[in-house]
Amino acid sequence: MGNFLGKIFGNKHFRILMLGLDAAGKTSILYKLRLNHSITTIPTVGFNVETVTYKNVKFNVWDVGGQDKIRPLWRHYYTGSQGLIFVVDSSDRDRIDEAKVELHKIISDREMKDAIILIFANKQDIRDCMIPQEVQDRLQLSKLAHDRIWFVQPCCATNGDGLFEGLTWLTSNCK
Amino acid sequence: MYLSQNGNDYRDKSEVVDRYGFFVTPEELNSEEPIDRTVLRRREQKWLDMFSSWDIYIRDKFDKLKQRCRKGIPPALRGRAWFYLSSAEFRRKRAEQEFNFEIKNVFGLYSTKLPTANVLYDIEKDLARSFPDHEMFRGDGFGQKGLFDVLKAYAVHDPVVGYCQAQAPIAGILLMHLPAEDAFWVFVQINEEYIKGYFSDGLIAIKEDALATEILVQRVCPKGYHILKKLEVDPILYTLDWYMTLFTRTYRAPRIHRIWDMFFCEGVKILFRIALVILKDSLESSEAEKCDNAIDLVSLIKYNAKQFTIDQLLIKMDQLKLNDYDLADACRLARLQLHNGQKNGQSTQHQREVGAKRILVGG
Repeated sequence: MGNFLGKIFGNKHFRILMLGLDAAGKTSILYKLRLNHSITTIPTVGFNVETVTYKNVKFNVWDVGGQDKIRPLWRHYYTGSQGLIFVVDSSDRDRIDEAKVELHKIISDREMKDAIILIFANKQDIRDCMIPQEVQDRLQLSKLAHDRIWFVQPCCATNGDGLFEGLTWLTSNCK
Repeated sequence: MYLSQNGNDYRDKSEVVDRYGFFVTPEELNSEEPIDRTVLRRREQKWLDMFSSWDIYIRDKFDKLKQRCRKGIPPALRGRAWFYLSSAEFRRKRAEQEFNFEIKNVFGLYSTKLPTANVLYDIEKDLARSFPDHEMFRGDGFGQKGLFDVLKAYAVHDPVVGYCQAQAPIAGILLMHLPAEDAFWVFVQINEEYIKGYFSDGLIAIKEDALATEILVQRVCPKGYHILKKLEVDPILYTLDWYMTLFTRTYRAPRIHRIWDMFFCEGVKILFRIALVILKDSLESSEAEKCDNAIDLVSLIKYNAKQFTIDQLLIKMDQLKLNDYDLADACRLARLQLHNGQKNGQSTQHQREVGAKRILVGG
């Protein structure tokens, strides 16, 4: 019923949790989406939350600091999330395995079992970075249960390429 | 102890993590209260709106804020809410001022210094023992490093207090919600505002509050007071760990979070009110009448304390026939009694109704 009315009045509202290793570009993505220009970010200690409206859909996007020391705090943000945006630095081959471990830890949590998963393969503007297929393979997404809904979207936070395509995917897959 | 039929340790195999990061059994996990996600998202929005006009809520809409703290702060915003409620940012800025703005990161500065060797030793030996049942603090979890940093920094910040064992679980709960530096400044506010004097030598503030609690029992439950007196139960026996650890050794998540939500908003009177609910309920039970010695009675009280749900605590707290004046008066009487005849005796002398509003607005 709520969803039905939401569709009529165009006030769909989604809670999206954005996680990823430190310096993957989460905060840059958040403010590029919010302000449509790129800002100089500092490491997030704690979290930022902004409402991004796109095609009549409101996304409450929670951007939580990714440094290993503060990752244990991530779980407080799980409950109620309808979507997960997991941001990967596509140029950082050294830490892609670490990213994989963290991603699987998040999505295997009970509170996140219904969340759909959007992977932003960020920093596509950097030479020799991993292409989306490689990111997908290295994150071992094909190992996920068949009912998990996921998508890898290449993007570049600084010029905005791919970001709104990601939101479009969220819009059509969020329940 | 719990061996399954094929001989494996049953507990290790079945251990799961609850939504607060504590290791529990699958049965305990399944008995977790379900959360209405729609309600949760609505509450999050209300809190985000409050954060953006915080001063107004503290000054003019405090009752609204208080009511929302009583309902429970959404988990994602709890850390930030505690930081705001305790005016920790204000304290951090004041510390910079104390260093004439020459130091930009006072916590960082403290981290480079060491307390005395025995304080350091005391802290180190408690790190692994504080929350062995939480994912952050088990093994080489980052929690232990954070705990070390916060406790050590505090001992440098306040060498007179140094380190008291009851401080570790408090810092631990904070670190489950906040990065170390933010946790540290909230921790400073707890020590310097909310429960000032609890960890000082001689435990004068704790003794005063214990006695004040007994005076209040006399008021809300004369029959219980009579039992306590008959069996010569010193109020320190039942209040000490409740107050010094802010109930962290009695309740764990999610009840402890809910208690702290109220505590950060309303202050130390929450500790008193919860203690009084537990005491009144325990002492009016038929088991209490059967107790013929102090140890049994205290055990009964301690056991009984753990049985309350948060909703029961809230309802019974509201039913207590007590107001802020009664609490303040009991504290005044306790001070008088304790320091009677020893005029030079240190008294804490500070207000016992410190809460979010008074810290920020003063007066």
